[in-house]
Amino acid sequence: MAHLSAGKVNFSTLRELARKDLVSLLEKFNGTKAIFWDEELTGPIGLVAEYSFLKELDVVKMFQLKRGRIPSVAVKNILFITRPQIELMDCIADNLHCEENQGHSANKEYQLIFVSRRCAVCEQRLKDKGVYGTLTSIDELPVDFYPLDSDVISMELDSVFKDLYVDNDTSSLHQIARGLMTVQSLYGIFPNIVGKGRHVRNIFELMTRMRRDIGVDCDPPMSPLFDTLMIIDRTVDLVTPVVTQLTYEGLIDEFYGIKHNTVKLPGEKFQAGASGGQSPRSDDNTVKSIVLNSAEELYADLRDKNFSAVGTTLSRKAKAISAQYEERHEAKTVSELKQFVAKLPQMQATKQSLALHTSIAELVKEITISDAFQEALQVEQDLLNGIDTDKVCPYIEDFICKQEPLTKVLRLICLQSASNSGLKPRVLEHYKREIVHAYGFQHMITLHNLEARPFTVIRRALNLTVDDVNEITPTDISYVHSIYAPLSVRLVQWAAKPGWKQISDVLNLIPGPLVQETQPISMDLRSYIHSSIEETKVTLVFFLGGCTYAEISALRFLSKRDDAPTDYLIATTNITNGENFLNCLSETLNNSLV
Amino acid sequence: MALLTADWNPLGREAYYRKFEVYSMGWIDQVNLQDLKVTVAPSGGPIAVVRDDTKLTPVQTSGKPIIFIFSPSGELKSTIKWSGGKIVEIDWSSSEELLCIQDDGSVSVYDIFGNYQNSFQMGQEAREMKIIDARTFPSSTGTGLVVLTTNFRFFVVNNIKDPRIRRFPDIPGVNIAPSCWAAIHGDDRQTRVIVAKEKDIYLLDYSEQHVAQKTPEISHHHLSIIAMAVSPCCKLVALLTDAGVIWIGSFDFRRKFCEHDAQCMLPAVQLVWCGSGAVVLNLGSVLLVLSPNRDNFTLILDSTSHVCPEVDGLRIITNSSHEFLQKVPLPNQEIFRIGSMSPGAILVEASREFQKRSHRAEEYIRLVKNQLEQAVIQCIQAAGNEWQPSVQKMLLRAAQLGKSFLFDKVDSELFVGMCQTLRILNAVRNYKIALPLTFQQYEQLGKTGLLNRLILRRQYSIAIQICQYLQMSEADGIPRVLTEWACYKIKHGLGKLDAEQLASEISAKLGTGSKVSYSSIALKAIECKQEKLAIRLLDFEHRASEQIPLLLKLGQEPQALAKAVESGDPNLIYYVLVVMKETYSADKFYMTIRHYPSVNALYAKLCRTIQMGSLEQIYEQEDNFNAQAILSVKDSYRAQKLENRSAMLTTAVKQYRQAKAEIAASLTEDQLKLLKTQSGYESKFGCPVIDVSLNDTLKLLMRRRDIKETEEMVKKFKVPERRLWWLKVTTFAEIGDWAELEKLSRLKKSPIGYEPFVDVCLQYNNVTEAQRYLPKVEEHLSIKYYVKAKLYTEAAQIAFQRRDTEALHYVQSRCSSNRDAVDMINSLIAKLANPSESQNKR
Repeated sequence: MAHLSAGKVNFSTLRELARKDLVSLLEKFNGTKAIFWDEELTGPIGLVAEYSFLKELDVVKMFQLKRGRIPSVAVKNILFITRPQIELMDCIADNLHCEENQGHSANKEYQLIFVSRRCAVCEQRLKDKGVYGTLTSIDELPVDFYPLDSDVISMELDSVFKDLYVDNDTSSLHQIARGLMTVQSLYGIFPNIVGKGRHVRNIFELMTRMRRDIGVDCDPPMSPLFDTLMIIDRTVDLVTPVVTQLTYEGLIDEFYGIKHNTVKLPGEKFQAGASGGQSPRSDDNTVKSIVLNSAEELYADLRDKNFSAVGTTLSRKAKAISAQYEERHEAKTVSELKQFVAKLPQMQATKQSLALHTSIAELVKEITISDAFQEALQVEQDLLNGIDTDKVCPYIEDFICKQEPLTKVLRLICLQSASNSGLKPRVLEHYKREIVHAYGFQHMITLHNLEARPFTVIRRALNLTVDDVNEITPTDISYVHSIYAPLSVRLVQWAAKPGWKQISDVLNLIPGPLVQETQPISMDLRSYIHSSIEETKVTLVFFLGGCTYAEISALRFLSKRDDAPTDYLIATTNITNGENFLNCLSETLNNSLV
Repeated sequence: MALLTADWNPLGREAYYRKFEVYSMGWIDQVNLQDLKVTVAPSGGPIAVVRDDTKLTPVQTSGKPIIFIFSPSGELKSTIKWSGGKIVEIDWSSSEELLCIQDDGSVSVYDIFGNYQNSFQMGQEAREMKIIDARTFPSSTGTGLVVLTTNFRFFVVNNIKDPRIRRFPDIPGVNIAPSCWAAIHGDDRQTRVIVAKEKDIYLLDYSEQHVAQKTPEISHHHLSIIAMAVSPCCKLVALLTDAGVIWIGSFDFRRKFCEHDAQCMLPAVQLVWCGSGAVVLNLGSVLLVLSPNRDNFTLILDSTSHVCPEVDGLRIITNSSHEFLQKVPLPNQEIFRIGSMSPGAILVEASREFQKRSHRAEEYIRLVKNQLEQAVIQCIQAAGNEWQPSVQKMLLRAAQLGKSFLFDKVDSELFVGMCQTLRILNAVRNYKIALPLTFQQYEQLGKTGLLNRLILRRQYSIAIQICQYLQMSEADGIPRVLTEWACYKIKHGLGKLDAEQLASEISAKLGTGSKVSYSSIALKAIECKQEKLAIRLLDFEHRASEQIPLLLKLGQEPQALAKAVESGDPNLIYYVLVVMKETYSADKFYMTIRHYPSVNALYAKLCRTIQMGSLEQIYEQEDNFNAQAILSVKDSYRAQKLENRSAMLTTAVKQYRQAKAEIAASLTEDQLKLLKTQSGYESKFGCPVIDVSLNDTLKLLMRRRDIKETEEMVKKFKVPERRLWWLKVTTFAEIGDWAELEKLSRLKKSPIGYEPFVDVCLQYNNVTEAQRYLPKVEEHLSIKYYVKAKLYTEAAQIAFQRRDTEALHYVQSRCSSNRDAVDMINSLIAKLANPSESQNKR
């Protein structure tokens, strides 16, 4: 996990804190333990604590939390580690009832651990189900942010956007503010908090309140490592998530879905010869799990590139590595040979990594050159450029008739709506009718949820579509979508140069209030800030409601520029893409007719 | 040194006892102890006096007695005009509460300012039989109380804060009053009573309901035992016989240490222990001090006295002074004993010479060089035991001198700590504050104990100064004192100030720092029935988790809700909602939560997940027809019968109409129509049709080649032409009805172009059929489509005709595995690149 500490701010401390919390929690329970995991947590917790680490804490077995009888294990403690969700409580209640009926409960202790916070509603549910008393203890594991990489931390909460903007349920803001407080406790108080969007001020106010409740004199005793916390509310830019990402990492995510840094790919491409790369573990023959992060040098290099630049990079690297192998012929003396041998393991790793990514790139390319992809991309780019956005788009209509995946259709409709500043009622009506008739009435609710999203006004004036983008050696962030620069990242870019004050008329066109606040910091800590002024400033960009890999790539691009006024690190509620974004808004209604 | 040892009395060979004045009493000339019953609180506590009914005194006032409470320096603090029943005994608890025990067994508790606190009973039997005597004792959980009833039964409570009454076993033998008794609470946490009935002694144990008779060996003739005392360590017992003989022995009465004829005029006033080393018999103005070895001396006092045992000595209260008798602590004895050559004594001598700037200081230091560390420690410890600041200073100076030769060998914590402690002790010993604590008593009491005493005395200012001086933690330091101050202010400011004034005065003093617990102050206000003040005070509390439960307790639900929303904490909002749901009517509930969108949303979620209430009701309340309609749609999918589903969808249509959502309404109507049609088909075709989409239904009909029904459906649902064509094209290809597809293509110009025709043919690998439609493909797509059909030659030809090199390259890139085609295209490209040459060749 050394790669986590490679960044401007060391995110491995966040991981260590989580581990420490986990240790002190598990040490409370004497004796052997079996953990029943909420399935959705295994991924995120896996980022901070691997199984071998838990084994050292007397965890002998791990299971997935599900209804019914739980497997019998000879342990002292049964630990349920879950998110605070009602269905999961019902699951636990069911488990405990079975245990009691079978008389297992006498010699075991049952502990419940909430991630990341106790929940009164859930506890009430357990009481209603009559199992509250069976639990020996209820605790919380206060892990809110998980480090994904040296420059990205995520809360891995997929439902935030829907909760906030479809259900208007602001409960998650409290957890978010708490998470940011933890970040502050490790890296110092953010001197500036700025942002744009509906809930930014809420977060700032909650943080201020929490800081006051802890006591201002209990501030973390360190000079702030971040200069600014910039909160970008997803509603500021609803276009970017639905635009197809064209970076290497973005495309892998679009096609195969990266979850908690891991992607599952079809196995046949990676037969014995081609296998390698970073900790590949084959689940079975058909699926191969690959961990993707900057610990792998080649991937760190490739991930942010536009896909059209990936091929050349791979072949250049391949040439370089074979040149390195050739050096063995030039090694004449023993010491030269020795040097060469010393380099071998690293070369071997590079070679494996090259093979891995060549295979992945081939997989991705198969899709990118397909007619279906090209056609949809063309439609997408036409819409982005504002061509015929006021009419029913025949391509979209055809996609519906062909019953292409619904999310693909919805993405394009959202995009059209966005670039047309909302659809004309007639057009919207037509699309709705077509969709319901083609895909079935059960999608009515999903369509309603989509309408609940405030469609943004997007202007050509914002310079978001760029014509001649250099995909290979980019000069602007628009390379991540080939023609389109993510509005969210543009906002971040403008904040540093020329400053939001200069573009206030443009900002007024974007929904949601602007927040520009400073947090008071005691004098002795402040003095450090001034002494470290020589160094580049660091901004933590927090995406409220999720961000895409392409946005992360764009921010990395901004950080790497020579004249970059500040470095950017990324925090987000979750990482999303068009498909996930729309899926979280859709609602499944199942037929229960008998 | 002679001065310091002047009032030392040797008791045997090893021990010295000294007596010194703590305060000269402020009550001089006003109080005569002879007529009074006196009780003194332990650890330097206050003194309560009341007229002694057993003594004959000229009656000044008739009727009810008055209890006076004095400070240890004899300053009148308060008076209690007794209006209750007959008082059997008054005594102090270990936390300085005055217990007034009445003959009916009821005990009233007062604070040192004479304010009534609470009361409790000693049980039914005590009430009916009346009690004749009572004693308090320090127990492991606080203060205990034993009472003796007229039928000579003992009842005990081990903690007056939690009065659980237990009865002791009966005393065996003739039913006469015990001549004396004592209650003890040992290290084993058991309370026992030793009772003497004339000559017999019994040990009563309630937990085992056990009585043991003891027979101490007393050689002097006597008829009864009239007083007894148990040493503070609970190992020794002293008895006094009616013949004036003191017997000292072990607690189990098996061993006798001494028997001493005090030759006194009885009745004696008090028999008590001074520490565990000596017994003191108080004969009024004469004290007899007797050691277990029978060594003894007498002290003559200037007036009648009352003595009060402490852990490390004896307090002697007289009409004019408050004195302390103690065994001289060992370090002090070592240093000040005449002719002592202990290291400490020599170091003190060195220091004295050093002050005089005499060279002999060095000689003394050299004398104790090897024991300097011990000398320093001796001096520091001795300083703690001295009452006079000048002597303390002298000893500390000596310690300091010694320390300077030791460098780091002596822990300076010890020295600094002692200086700090003495500073505090001297401050609280001041007669105005009047807390005459010895070092040992202070050690036992602790920092927090001292603060508690100061708070009890309302000495808030010095309490805060001590907190600051000792840099005490937030939890038990200044914020606690301030909170107590505020509580006092509330209790006593009532009536004088209104709620608003009081609240602002308190907040002005306490500030808005996060450490002061406004909620606990508000709780006090609630106790004092000052709801308005409590509400006002809770405004200053910013920890919502503290504030909200109290607001709810005060019935301030709307405010609690507002605060919960501010805090953003969903747990708190839920908590308030639960309470409101119980106490409010449905209407009022909705009216209250509707102001907060976030609460509304949370409540809706709770309705959905845990059925906290009904969602319909919320939406009806808000006239949110759209949401109602959505709910109906969702519900319809939960229905198990088609009729139910249809009924719910019909409701949804109505609701959509009300919401003016025309599209949704008409789509839902379509769905109703579709369901009806589908259910008809289901019985007709005998296969599941319900719940598939309209398009799929149409496809089903087409697959069945049911043209009539298809047309009817198209009309019924106004299916647009483009969609119909799409459906036909895909379905015909699916069922391989190529003839029908061809017929369709010739019917009229396709509204969807001919590309889909090619696509579907290719999808089913029918290139021959595809070729039929390829020429009809739009010009700009034709090359692409020929390539799609893998007809590379044709594609290349078209490109060549259009003289489009780029297109040729495109075609070539797609057929790279086909050598012939690649070559052919290469030649075409060459032709285009150099047209003249190829013409020449020809």
